[in-house]
Order: sequence, then C-alpha cells, then structure tokens
Amino acid sequence: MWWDNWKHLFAINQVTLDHEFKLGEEGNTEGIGDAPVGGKPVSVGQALRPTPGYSHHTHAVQNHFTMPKFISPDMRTNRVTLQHLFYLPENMDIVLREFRLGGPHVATVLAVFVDGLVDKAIINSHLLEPLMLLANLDESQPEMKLVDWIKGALLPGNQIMELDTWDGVMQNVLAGSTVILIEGVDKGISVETKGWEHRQVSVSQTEAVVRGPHDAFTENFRSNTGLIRARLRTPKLITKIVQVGKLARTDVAIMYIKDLTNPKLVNEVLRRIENLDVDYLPDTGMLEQLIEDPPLGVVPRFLATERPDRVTYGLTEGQVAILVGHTPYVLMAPIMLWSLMQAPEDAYLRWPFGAFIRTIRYLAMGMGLLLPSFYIAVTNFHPEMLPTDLMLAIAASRERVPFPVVFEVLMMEFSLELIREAGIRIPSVIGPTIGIVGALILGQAAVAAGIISPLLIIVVAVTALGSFTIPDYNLGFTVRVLRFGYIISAAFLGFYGICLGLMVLLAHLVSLNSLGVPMLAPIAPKGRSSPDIIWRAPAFQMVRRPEALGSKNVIRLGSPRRLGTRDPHDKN
Amino acid sequence: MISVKQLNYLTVIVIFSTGILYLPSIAISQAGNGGWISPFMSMSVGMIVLFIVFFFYHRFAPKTLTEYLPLLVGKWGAKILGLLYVFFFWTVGLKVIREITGIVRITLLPNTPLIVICFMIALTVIYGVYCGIEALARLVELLALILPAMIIALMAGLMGFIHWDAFLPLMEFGWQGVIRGAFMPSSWFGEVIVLAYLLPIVTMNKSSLPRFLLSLVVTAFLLSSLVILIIGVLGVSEAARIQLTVYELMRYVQFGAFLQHIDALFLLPWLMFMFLKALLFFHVTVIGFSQSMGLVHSQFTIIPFVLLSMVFSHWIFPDEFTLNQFLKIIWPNYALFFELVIPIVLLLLYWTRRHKIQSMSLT
Repeated sequence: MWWDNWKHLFAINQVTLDHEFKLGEEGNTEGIGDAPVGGKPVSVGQALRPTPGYSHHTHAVQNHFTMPKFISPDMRTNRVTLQHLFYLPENMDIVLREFRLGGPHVATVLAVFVDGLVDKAIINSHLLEPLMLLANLDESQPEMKLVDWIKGALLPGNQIMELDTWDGVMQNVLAGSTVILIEGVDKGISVETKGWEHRQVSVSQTEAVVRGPHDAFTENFRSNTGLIRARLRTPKLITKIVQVGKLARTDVAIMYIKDLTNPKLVNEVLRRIENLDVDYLPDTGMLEQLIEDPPLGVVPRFLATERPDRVTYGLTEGQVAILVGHTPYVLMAPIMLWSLMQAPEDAYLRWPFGAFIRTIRYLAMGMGLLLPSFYIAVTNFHPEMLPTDLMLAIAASRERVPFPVVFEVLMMEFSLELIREAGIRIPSVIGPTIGIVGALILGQAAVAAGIISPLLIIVVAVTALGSFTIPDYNLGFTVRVLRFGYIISAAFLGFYGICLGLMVLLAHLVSLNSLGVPMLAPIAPKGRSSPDIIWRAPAFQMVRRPEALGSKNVIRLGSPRRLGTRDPHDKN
Repeated sequence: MISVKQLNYLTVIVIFSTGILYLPSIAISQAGNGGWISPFMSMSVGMIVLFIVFFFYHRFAPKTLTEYLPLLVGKWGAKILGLLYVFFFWTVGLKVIREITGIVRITLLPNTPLIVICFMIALTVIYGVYCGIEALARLVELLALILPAMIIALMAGLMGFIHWDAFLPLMEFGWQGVIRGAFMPSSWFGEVIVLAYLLPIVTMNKSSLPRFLLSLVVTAFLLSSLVILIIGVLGVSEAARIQLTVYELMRYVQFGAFLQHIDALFLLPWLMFMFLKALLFFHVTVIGFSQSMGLVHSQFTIIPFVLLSMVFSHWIFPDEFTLNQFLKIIWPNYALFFELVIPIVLLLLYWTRRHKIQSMSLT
C-alpha cells in the first residue's frame, strides 16, 4: 500500500520512544550497572547511591570476580583485573597499550592511561619511545633489577612512582598519570603525564581593580597553588592536600604558613574537610556551605576570591586558604565581616583614599539595605521629617499613582531583580538588549504609564547602585534579599519595624563565628589590631595583625619589643 | 566569656536607657532647676549596691547570687529568695517591654494596637535572648558608640535654644528637693544588682571595681547633661508637666532649615538601648530561674517568660497613666527592696555567720 512507507517511519518512532520505560524497575537497571538488582523497584536516588561498604572491590564480588589487592606478575591476570577495575570495554576513555620492551630483557609492557587527561606528546616521547626504541641502545647487561633499570635509565619523566596496589593504580590513572605494568614484575610504575585542556591565567573578572595585579585563579588546581607559591616565596608556606568525595574524588588543598597560622585553626579546617561525607565536591561554594557553622546564617563565613594577591595577603595575616580542584575561587577563613567589604585596591591606594573609598562603600551598603524601607517609613508614617517643599513634590508626583507606596516599591525592586538576573543569564550576543529594555521599562514607560512616581525611580536606582558596590558577591546577595525583609517590616511598622529588623540582624551578626573567630571581631568583641575597618592607617603603621585570628605572631613588621607588646599566647 | 569593658558599657546603657524616660520630669518637679544634681545623688545608691555585689563576688568567686544564697539563708530560704529575685528581674523586663511599647505607641505608631507593637518586640527579644549573653555583650559594644553621638547631636541641635538664666537661682528648692528628686531614679541605679549574676562569667582582675564605679559616674553625668538640656530648653515648669520630656527635646532639634522633626532618628537608638536592657533582664531571669530550679537546659524557658511578660504588661498597665503612676509611686519601693534592702540584710547575715559560712564554702 502507499502508506506502508509512512507506517515504517512511525515504527521507528515507536522503537526509539519506549513509553514503558521506568528507571529503577527490574530489567531496566542494567543501564545503571551498579544498582542493586532486587525484587522491589528502587528510586533513582537509591539506585545511584552506593550501598554501605560500596567500592570497586565489593562490586567486583557481585560479578563473581575477586578483585586482588596487589598487582600480580602475570600479565594475563593483570589485564583481566584492569578490565574489571575500569569497566572495559564499556568505558571507552581508558586506553590500554600493550607493547614489547626493547633491549636485553624480553617482556611485555602494558600502559594504561585515560584519553583526554594526558598529554599524548609526553607519552609518545617520554614513555613509549624510550621503552620501545631507546632501550635497544643500552648494550650493557644491567646488573640491577628490571624495575630499577626502567625507572633509573629509561623513563625521563620528572615524577615517577612505584605502585604495589590496584587502588594506587586507579588513583594515578584517574589523576592523569600513565601506569605501566611489566610482565613478570609485581609492581606498576606511574609516570606523571597530566595534560588536560584548561583556561589560561587571565584577568580577574569579578574582582577587577585599577591599581594592583590583574591575574586571577583558573580551573587548574596546580596552577592555582603555583600562583600563590610564586608570590609567597617561603618554605614555611605549607600545602596540604586531601581528597574529598566517595563517588569521585576531588583534590582539596589547605594552604597556611607554618609558625604563623594558629595550628588549632589548621587542625579544625582539616578535621571538617576530612569528615565530609559527600559523593562529589564540585566547587568551593558547596564546600563553604558544608563546613561553615552555624549552617543557618545570612552572611558568608568564608571569603571567596579569585585574586592570588588577596589570598597571599590573607595568608600572611594568619588565615587559611582552601583550594578545591577545578575551581577558580579560593576560600579564605577565618574572616571578619569587614573583609567582605574590602577590595584589595584599598590597600594599594594611598591611605586617605582607601579610607575615603571604604566610607563610600559602607554608606552604599547602608543605602542598598535600608533606603527603600526608609522611603516607605518616611512617606507612610513620618512625612513631617521631610522639608515641606519636598513633601509636597512627592505628594504631587504620587497623585497619579493608584497604588500604595509599598506595592510601588516592591514592584520596582522586583523588576530590578528581574533585570539583574536576566542580565546574567542572557547570552552575551543579545546582551545590550537588556540595557535598552531595562532602561525603558524602569525609566520612562513606568512613569509615563502612571504606575510609578519619578522619585521612587531615583530611590530604586540608588539602592541598586549601592548594592552593586559591595565587593563580595555573596554579601551582595545578603543585602539584596534582606532588603525585602526591611521593606515589608517598614511597610507594617515604619521606623519601629526597621529598628526591630536591625536589632535582629545585629544580634544575628554578633553571634556568628567564622571558624571560631567572631565575625565583627576587632569592634565587638574589641581586639587589638591595626586600623583596617573603615579607617586605614598609613602602610608603615599597619604593624599589627588582627588579634582575633590567633596568629602566633601579632606584629607584622619589626621586632615585637619596638612597640612594647607581648606575645598573645604568653598570657594563656 | 565577656569582658569588663563590655559590662561597663552595659551598665551605662541599662541605667541610661530607661533612666531618661522619667528621671528628668521627676527630678525637675521635685528639685526645680537643681534637678541636674539629682542623678549624682541617686548614683550613690548604685555605688552601695555595687560594693555589696563586689563584696560577695570576692567571697564566693565563681558563684552567682542564686548559687551563694544557700550559704547565707539555708536551702529553702535560698530557693524562695532566688525565685523572688527571678520574679523581680522578670518584672523589670516586663516593665521595659511595656515602656518600649508605650513610647512607640505615643511617638511612632499612634494608631497601631498596643498588642501588635508588644508582640513584635517580644518576638525580637526572644530571638535576642536565644543568641546568648555573649551576643548581648557584643551588641552593647557595637552600639555603645551611638550613645555619645546621640547626646552630642542633641546638644548640637539644641545649643541655640538654651536659656542659661533658667539655672538661676542655683537649686531653687534646696538640697531637700534634690534628694527627693533623687529617690525614685535611684531604683534605676540599683539595677546594677544584675551584676551579681554577670560577674562570674567575666574575665576580671582586681582593678575592675573602680571601672564599674566610673561607669556609674559616667551614667550620672550623661543623665545630668540631659537634665541640663531639658531645663535650659523647656524651662522648669514646662518640663515638670509633660510626659516623655526627652522626646519633647528631640522634637526641638533642628539642623539648618531642612533637617527638622528628626525625632524618629533619635528614637531609633534609644529604642535599641531599651531593647538591650530588656534582653539583659530576660537573660538574667532565665539564668536565675534555671539556677534556682537546677535546670540543665534553660533555653526552653525563654519563650514562656517573654510571652508571659507580654501578656502581663498588657494586663497590668492597660494605659499610659497607670504605668506612670505605678512607676512613680510603687516601683521605687518595690525595686529598692530587692536592690538595696535584701542585699544589706544578706550582708548583715554574712557578718553574723561568717565563720560558719567560711567553713561551709571551703568544703
């Protein structure tokens, strides 16, 4: 029939779209592979979550294969083990390259690496070429063992490790190394061949400055630690690396300065990170949420920065830096609230200018938090506070507006947040549109249509500018969100509502700790420190580290005796 | 742990915040234009209480008042007296909440139902008490700087209005009037009795007592300067007549031609200070209650105490007049009984039984 062709087309659709498909039911779990196949259906989360005691080894038991702990000298066994270890041939990223070793020893060699993680040029020139070709040039019959000969004479790689266990093999291969296994030898040799694609060090995007260094961290873990170490050239700079994650491991580095940073602090950070129980740690943002306490707080307890100069300066104050693999943001802790309001430029400028900029910034934060609610409180509850002419002008401009002030403010704040969010999500090609649309909606049309009074546009615009001046992205969010709370409390209770809201916020802030250091530290509780909150002393007077950090040496320059101070640990 | 400095600030704020509410009108109505001396007179009561508190602190160092009462008055007497003190601190907290509500109702929100204002402050106080005494101390430290700023702004805004001839003749009603004007405000200075609960959690040294005495002097000085402002600006007869004299003063403030009627801006820090005072007294209520009842966790008593005080404040003082009369006539006797009379009796008890007590506290 003529429609047989069409039927055929529909049939294809029926095959590809399986309407009966349900994840987690028996028979369909093969796709997931590791999920426990049982009689009752399991949910997606249950299927993906490892059962207690789950690991590669127990999984292998399910397939009636006993995973050996140590590398065997027999190449055939090793091959089978590798196939089970990396789920070959299902997993196509893993490359097994078998070849014969040149030279006096006759042996088969198996190289294992992950395609995409390694630099193939290095493997070709520093691994395959010496082992296969250059080995023939060595005529002398070596006295030493085969492994030592290969390690000592044949592999020119700069980081080489001898491995006993399959666990080590797995770790090294997944981290970008190439592991070679040799026939007749119960050891593997790991050669460092990391070489995946990553962004080059570039200009800081979110913390731009005019004066000062412009480079920023990238997604490359090792180049990030390198950027810090290149600046702080002291052997006392310690980098501790731990791995986090039960499903897939992520490198987490903790950097601090020996004999300066409080060891209790380092131990606490290490303890918190090592006790993390997560599947996978994608970013410092998640690490921050997992290790900060108390977990419910409106203000970030860590400083996330992408500027190496900021990290190094913090390290020399006695803070700890936490780096997570493949994240361009580094966490600094413990911090005070003030450091979230500081830009690195403040310190590089001459001191009166730094203090001036900070004053502006604090005023701006105050406006970003409270200006709309003050506008509501004044216009709704205390119009007598304004000069009469201004009050009349406001009343005249509001004459055409049918809504109460609160509704007006909330509407404008909402559209502002809309523009902000759209500005971030919009593809950069059509980015300029947002400015035109936003300016038209916020500026002209809303007033012309008679839903907004012109004065309110000034208020909202200044508020937005104020919240944009906050250097820390997280703190900016705090202000953005809390602003709505104040708008609502001002709408209900006027200045009384604002007052109560401020009391709650302040009580919350003073009870917050960042890794045991009070967030408002040099002010409440009072501690000794060089002035660095709003007022900044000239650079030559910035002698004292913040006492609250508990650094081992609170004096930054010169000898402690010069100022007649004592070591803070003496009195304890 | 909280520091001596924080506690000094707290002392100033606790006495000053509610002191300025009624002290000026009472002192001026009794002492005429000599009312500015009265705060220094009532300060002496605070000093006596402070000496007694420190006397017991040095004898029974890490113990609070509730904990060393058994040594002085026996087990059951201590339990009763401890609970009486809890009741006293609770009523102070209640009074402060009611005063805040009253001020807000008169000045900021004249049409809002009292219970709404009261409920909101109660919720805030509950949160504040949950944050703990350490947070309170830090809050005080953070906000303490506003106090001198507020007074300086008041002075700067009112300098032009002061009539200095209002102070002549000096002390028109004589010393007798000054002392009569000092009696009722002395109940506020006597509130330093809370230090009997706070000193054990402070990092102290031997030279702390003079600093506390100094904080009392500073408070008296601040109150006195306000009274001077009031007499100079409003005049004696006017000041003795109106309620909330300080608020009237704030309404006079103006800077240039465009910053007028900014009383709301002065009220904000004032309300904050009163809020801090309420926090302190509810905190001490909770501490005292848990110590005299032997509770391990005291947090769960916060909500009942605060909410009960909200209800009772509404019930006992339905309007401002009742509150006023109560505060002027009954309150000084009631408060001074707990602040001055009982401590002096305890001191005498200690003197008569000191050998026995020393042997008891050693074991």
